[in-house]
Amino acid sequence: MSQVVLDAKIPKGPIEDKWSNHKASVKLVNPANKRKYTIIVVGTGLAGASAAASLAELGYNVLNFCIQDSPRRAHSVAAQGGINAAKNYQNDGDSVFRLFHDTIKGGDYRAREANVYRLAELSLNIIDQAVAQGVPFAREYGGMLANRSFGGAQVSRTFYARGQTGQQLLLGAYSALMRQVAAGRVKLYARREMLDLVVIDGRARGIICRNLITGEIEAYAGDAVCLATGGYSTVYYLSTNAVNSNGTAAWRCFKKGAFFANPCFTQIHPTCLPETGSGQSKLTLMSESLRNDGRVWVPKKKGDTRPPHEIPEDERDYFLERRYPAFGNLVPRDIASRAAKAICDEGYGVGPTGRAVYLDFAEAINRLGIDVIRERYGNLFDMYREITGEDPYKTPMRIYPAPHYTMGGLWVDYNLMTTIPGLYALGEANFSDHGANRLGASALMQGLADGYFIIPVTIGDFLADHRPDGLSTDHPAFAQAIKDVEDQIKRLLSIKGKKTVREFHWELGRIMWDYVGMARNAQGLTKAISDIRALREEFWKNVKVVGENEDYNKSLEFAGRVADYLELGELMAMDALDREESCGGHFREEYQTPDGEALRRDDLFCHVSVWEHKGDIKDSVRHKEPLEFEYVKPTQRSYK
Amino acid sequence: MKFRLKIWRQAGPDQPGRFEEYTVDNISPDMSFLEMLDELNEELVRQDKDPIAFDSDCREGICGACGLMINGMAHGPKLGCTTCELRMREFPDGSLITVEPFRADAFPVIKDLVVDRSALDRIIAAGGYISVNTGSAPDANAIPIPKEIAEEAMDAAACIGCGACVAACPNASAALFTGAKISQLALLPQGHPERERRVISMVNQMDIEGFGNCSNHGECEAACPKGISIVNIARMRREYIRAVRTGGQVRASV
Amino acid sequence: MHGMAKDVTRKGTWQTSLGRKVIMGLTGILLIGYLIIHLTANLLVFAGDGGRLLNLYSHSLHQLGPLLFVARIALAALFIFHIITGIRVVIQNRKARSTRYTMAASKGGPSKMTPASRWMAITGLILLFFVPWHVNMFTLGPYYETVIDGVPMRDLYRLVVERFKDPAIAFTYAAVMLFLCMHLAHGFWSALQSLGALNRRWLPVAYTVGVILAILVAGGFFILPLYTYFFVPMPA
Repeated sequence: MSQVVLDAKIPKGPIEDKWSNHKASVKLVNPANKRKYTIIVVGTGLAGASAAASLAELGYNVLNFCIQDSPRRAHSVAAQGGINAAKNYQNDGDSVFRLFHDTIKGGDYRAREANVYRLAELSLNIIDQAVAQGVPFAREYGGMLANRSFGGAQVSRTFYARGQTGQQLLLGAYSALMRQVAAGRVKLYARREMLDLVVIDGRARGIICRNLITGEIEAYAGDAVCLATGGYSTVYYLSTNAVNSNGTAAWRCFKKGAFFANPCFTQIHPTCLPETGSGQSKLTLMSESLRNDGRVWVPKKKGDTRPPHEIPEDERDYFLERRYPAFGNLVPRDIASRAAKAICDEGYGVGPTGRAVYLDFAEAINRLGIDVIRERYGNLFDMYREITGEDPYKTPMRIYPAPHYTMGGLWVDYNLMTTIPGLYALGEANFSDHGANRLGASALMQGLADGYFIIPVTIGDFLADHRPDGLSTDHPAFAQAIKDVEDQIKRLLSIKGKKTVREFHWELGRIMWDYVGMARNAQGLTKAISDIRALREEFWKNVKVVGENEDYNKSLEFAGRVADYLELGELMAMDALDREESCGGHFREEYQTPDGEALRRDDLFCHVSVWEHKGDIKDSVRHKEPLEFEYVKPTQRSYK
Repeated sequence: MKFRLKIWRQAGPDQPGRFEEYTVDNISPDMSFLEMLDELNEELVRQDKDPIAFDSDCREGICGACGLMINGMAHGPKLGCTTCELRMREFPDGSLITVEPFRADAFPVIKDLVVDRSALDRIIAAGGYISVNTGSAPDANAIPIPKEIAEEAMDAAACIGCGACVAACPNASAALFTGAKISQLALLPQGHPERERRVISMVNQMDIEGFGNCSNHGECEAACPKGISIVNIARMRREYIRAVRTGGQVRASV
Repeated sequence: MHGMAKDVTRKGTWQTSLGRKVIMGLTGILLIGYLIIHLTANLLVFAGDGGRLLNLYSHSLHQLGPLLFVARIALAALFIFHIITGIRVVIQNRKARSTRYTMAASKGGPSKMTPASRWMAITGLILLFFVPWHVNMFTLGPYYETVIDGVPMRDLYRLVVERFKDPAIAFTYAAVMLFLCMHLAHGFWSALQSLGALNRRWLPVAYTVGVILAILVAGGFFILPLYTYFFVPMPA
């Protein structure tokens, strides 16, 4: 089916030397020439801010865009738990190889070995960099950095700053960015939404943005474009992502020719607060660390409406401990999420909606005392109480899985370049190093590795071959792109239908959650594809977008994003249908072991599914990048 | 639950604003304040009216994008909580709720309840960083930092940049915001080489932006969703006095 | 990114928002110090000795000669400096929020916002008018003479009692002292905070001490005219 050869440009040599060899062999741009290049960086999260700051430090002109009113608000800010680094400060046998191994295995053998090894290597430098910036990581009394353990690892390698690690790392990158803004090397454009990529002679040369205050459609030209716009979990409407997080920038690049990899690989996080009812705008995540001391259970009787403390011990089903005696409540995210969904689907769920399970700390409080529990999880318990009005010290928490992270994204080679020359994708926006499932505390690591350490090296290799030509936005390609964007906006505003944008988004989210969520099957996916198409058709006939373009107009902003999600959702379903195996976060009910575990089919699907846009979504073509495992041999994951 | 809302509407920065009254019904007590506004906006959209503009993003109290003056209090009546975390059960059923934007001349209104807080970014740009280029850092454990110092720095670093301190301050002072960043970097050894330059630049920028003086009302600490203490303002002042006395130069230790 | 201070001097001055508060704090603390000395002396009215100690004290001050003049100039300068800086602070504060809130309330909790803190400018203004009135009434008032231990000196005691026997003066004076109490209640700890002298441990201590100090100092000045009015006999 595919004639396209995807060259990942993986350097030769043993895996531990690939990155050093590559750094030593890439072409360089003369320091005096760097200022003649303009690099566009879209996004100011961990990947975007670190890239913009680091590129500016090298001397490039950087134009940096963000959708929020300040770069400090990018959604990386919300990551709680920590960041992995193979420092082996604990002397517990950690190493770059072990982090590499854990990440490949955690990703269920669907990631590229060379990339993951480099990620593990760079994890060391990230911690150094962050500490030097003044990130206040947790420390021991002796003044040394503290570590905690996290799911999927047998060593203690997670660095953390209370429950706000993402915030602190982001503020570190943000401070580096603002230093370059003050120095005049980064021009910051806040409250801008990228709506198109400008491709000239097959090369990414600029972007089109909408100014979210004035509605003005603006064009920016550059020598390269780095996309660091995050993931697309909000395709599910309810997710742990921020309300403004969206997939539009990446999606418009897909439509301009960048290939999209593994769109169906999404992560559903097991410990989130359950839905409360209509009107809810997002789901709140509670750190995975809670599963260290909390026990997950449901009543043994279906539809048991007694309050939890009235349900005696022998009428409780601790289903994770029952099904996975070896790992118990600490099974990886995908397995815990699936088990919770399955038990609720069978009718054992608790709470007003029946879509929740208990996470009970009574036993841990008895064993360790309330003070220890307060010290470990105090801020999370407070957060739970704020939101639900219930006291988790007295009554078990109710939790339910929620969409959280997307492993899929724009396909990139080893240099992080997409299939469009000059267009790079960083952080969650690329299809990343996490395979089919991301381990906890690895997203921060990847975003910062991409931004601080990889792109500053690899972009020079490309720019050295492409001399600055002083391209301006007068080029007709910009006018055309502006017109396309304006036309779409006009079209959205002119429909004047009956249904609000949020209603469409909500309906799409339902389809995605029901059929392209935690457990998928061919029948459901086929239905999802036709439902999404029907919804898309209805959207373009019946959506109601109020106001005008020349204004702060949330209704219009969201309309554009939902329009894109109505296409991306279809591609996700197509990809899920195409991948006839279960791996990581992608669970196809047809492919499971007799005891209900994921059944990977390495003989047929040991590859990255890479989609090419061909006009209509249904005509998208799937290419393959085969994955080869030289250093970590694929085995069936077992947590029993 | 049912509420009457008195909300500030303003079409643009140079347009006059006014309050408008709305009624919302069937509001679940578990809804956040912003979800209640979402519901109202859906209704306004259905009636072809302009929805109420307000900023928000993460909706879990960490990004700092949201911020409304609710019944005269920044982020509403509950301590230690952002507008997006505030639940409707905090308000008596049937009550009248007054909603205004954060007001300060340094925070011009963009539309309705949306204000421009980029002044805070410029204060950070003036010196709220440690000048270390990527790649030049020593090993992370090379400089031990006592746990107590790291914790104190973290308390200050918890700032989410929402601007509630400015909004709640009778003088619209940004002292808590600026003090928190200066404090964090002054506590950590990595921040010492530039401490004099930093505090002077940041304080100057704060004044250029048009914020008021800190009169030690301490209302900022009450409004701060992260409970950042005004001891950070005292620390900023110590840093400032020290820097002015040394003429803004690094004091050579002889 | 408009208004980025690029060429801002790297040198700090005392004329920034922070510098001015340092001035306010320093002058404020010194003025409080003066008030305490002043009150201690005034308490001599209560000695019940017909004014002997008070007059002796006043006389001993006058013996300082040029030094007293210098001290008075310094005190006046301190006072004026405090006021001028205070006015500049208030102007900057008013400009910082030209559109006021329709509704504003304290959130409670750790807030230290009280009528005392909110009305610093007003109570300060009242004191600004009070002080010249007070100086004019006593320091520059009529010169009564008395002889103690054979030494002729000014009978300040008589002047004080005479003035405070006028109910209008006694009650106005006492009322102003309530405002002084407010000014000090916020002023004391606020001055220390402005000087960067406080930390987690000392901040609550300073706050409490400030309130107690305000009650004691202003209380002393408050009781003085009323006590005199009601209980002290007019000297012969």
